[in-house]
Amino acid sequence: MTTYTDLIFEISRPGRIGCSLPERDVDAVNLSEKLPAHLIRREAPELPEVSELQLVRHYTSLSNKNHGVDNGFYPLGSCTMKYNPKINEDVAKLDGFGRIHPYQPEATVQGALELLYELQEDLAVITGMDAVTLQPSAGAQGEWAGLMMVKAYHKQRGEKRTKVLVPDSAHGTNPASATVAGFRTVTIPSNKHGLVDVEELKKHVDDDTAALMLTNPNTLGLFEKDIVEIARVIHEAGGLLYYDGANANAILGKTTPGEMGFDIVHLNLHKTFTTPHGGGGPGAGPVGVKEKLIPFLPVPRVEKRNGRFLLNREEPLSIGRVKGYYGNFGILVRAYTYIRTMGPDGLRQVSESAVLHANYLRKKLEPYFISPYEQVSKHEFVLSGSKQKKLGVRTLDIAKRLLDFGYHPPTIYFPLNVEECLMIEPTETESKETLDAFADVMIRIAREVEEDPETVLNAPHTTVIGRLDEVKAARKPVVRYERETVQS
Amino acid sequence: MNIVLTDAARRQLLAFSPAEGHVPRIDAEMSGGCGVSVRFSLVWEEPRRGDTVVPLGDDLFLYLDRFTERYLEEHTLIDYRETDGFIFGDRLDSSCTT
Repeated sequence: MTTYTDLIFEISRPGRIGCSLPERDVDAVNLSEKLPAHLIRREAPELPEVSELQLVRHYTSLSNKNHGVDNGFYPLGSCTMKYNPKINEDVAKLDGFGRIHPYQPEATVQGALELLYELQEDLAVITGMDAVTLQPSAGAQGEWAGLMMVKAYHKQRGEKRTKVLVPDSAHGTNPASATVAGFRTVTIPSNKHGLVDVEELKKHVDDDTAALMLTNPNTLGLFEKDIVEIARVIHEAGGLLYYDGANANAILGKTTPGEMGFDIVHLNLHKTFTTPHGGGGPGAGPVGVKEKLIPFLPVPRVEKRNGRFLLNREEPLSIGRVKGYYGNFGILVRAYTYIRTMGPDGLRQVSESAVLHANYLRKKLEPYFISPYEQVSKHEFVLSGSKQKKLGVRTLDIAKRLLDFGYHPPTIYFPLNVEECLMIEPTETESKETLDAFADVMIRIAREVEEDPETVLNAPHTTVIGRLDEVKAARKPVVRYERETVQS
Repeated sequence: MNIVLTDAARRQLLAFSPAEGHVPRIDAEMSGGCGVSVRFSLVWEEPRRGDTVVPLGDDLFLYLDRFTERYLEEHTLIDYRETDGFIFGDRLDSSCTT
């Protein structure tokens, strides 16, 4: 019996076909007259040979094995795996958005340009910035674009600053982006409360400091209460303050990076503004800046002049173009739809509910796992599996066990400054029933660790494939299909 | 599982005076986020439930939990250098990343 857990190559049978090709209506070509002999294949390629029905069942079965927000809870900390409303898709498919071409004359795409302009304006208000570019196609590219503007800003002032400060709880992309942009990074340790150690920060701030990159709330889900003092320290040294907007879901309508003293912000539309995650894109990482950085924004910029919308390519101090055309337009349409659907009050409610959900879940789980920080959480929280580690069970085992209950595990082993870390972000779109059910499973697993550790250590038990040999996969990866490999 | 100590590693282990109840342990520490890497360290800690205890002669024993055992090479050489501390792996890299 075919269980449809096989590879499509394994259900293949010689001569079976799933499509009918039309009669050839052009003359046959003798390849040997057109191509060198070494470029002509001598054997037929090993393509799978299956019927259309087998093909449909195979890929339908694969798609059913996927886990996404549409079929299950996905509390992956820092990733904001919230529900993406389907109206976003409806709007993105409208002919006026979905069937236009970036090379059309501006006069024929005024509606699309207006949408981009309004999205820029909305994001500027949401972040407390003075101008926004929608060009960058991912959060990390937004970081890089922002840092290139930092560099251009200092250069314009006749300075060559080389140092970017990054807290030890930062997303890994922060130091990576700074390095790619040509800066050297200096790590600032957190204090015992999980916040930036301001005294330690002061020791590293000098006239070589180009910027401090900060996420607020930080990756521990804690609001950096000293942000005003941090901003003062950085600005007095002539540096700039960069806001990693990965955690913007915690502050919508409550405060803005601009209010906190930040000069540059990037947003991850796939996190906060319900555009699809995953698959490597397309994504969008808009960047907002304060007035002093506007001349350095990428071009083209969408502007409004005399009631018409246009792409301005004439900015002499701009860092240039960072993405083809004007970013990933379809994604921007979805984010705009979300913002317009929610409105200011709705966005504020998003953050309030996200914070409430995180703290509700935290309180339910605190009796069973170590909760390393006292401060009230924002939209996400961290737990430590250090208590379970003493019993011989690790956080990875707990994450694997969650798969048995149909949950995507939280982010694990990040941030790095929490031992055996579990980083949980429930988001605002989940119901109380879902939060309660997840908490019940986590509590059940905590009890299993004490009473029946083998069940956790050998998880998962209900997935198509059990515990993978990750060491073998890393050390002896098989990344190319060969019939012999599969059959052995 | 075959764990071999260099002379330097053995000397260092024998010379250490741990706190009462603490034992030498090879511990796999993970760091994660977008991808997970594993790094081994040698620490002195209380035994954990289900530990594997590996005898190494001279009344020396190394403790490993199940998790660490999964990630450690079948044959592991442990060396000690003043500058780097204990280092693991056949190639004596300062860390082992999977």
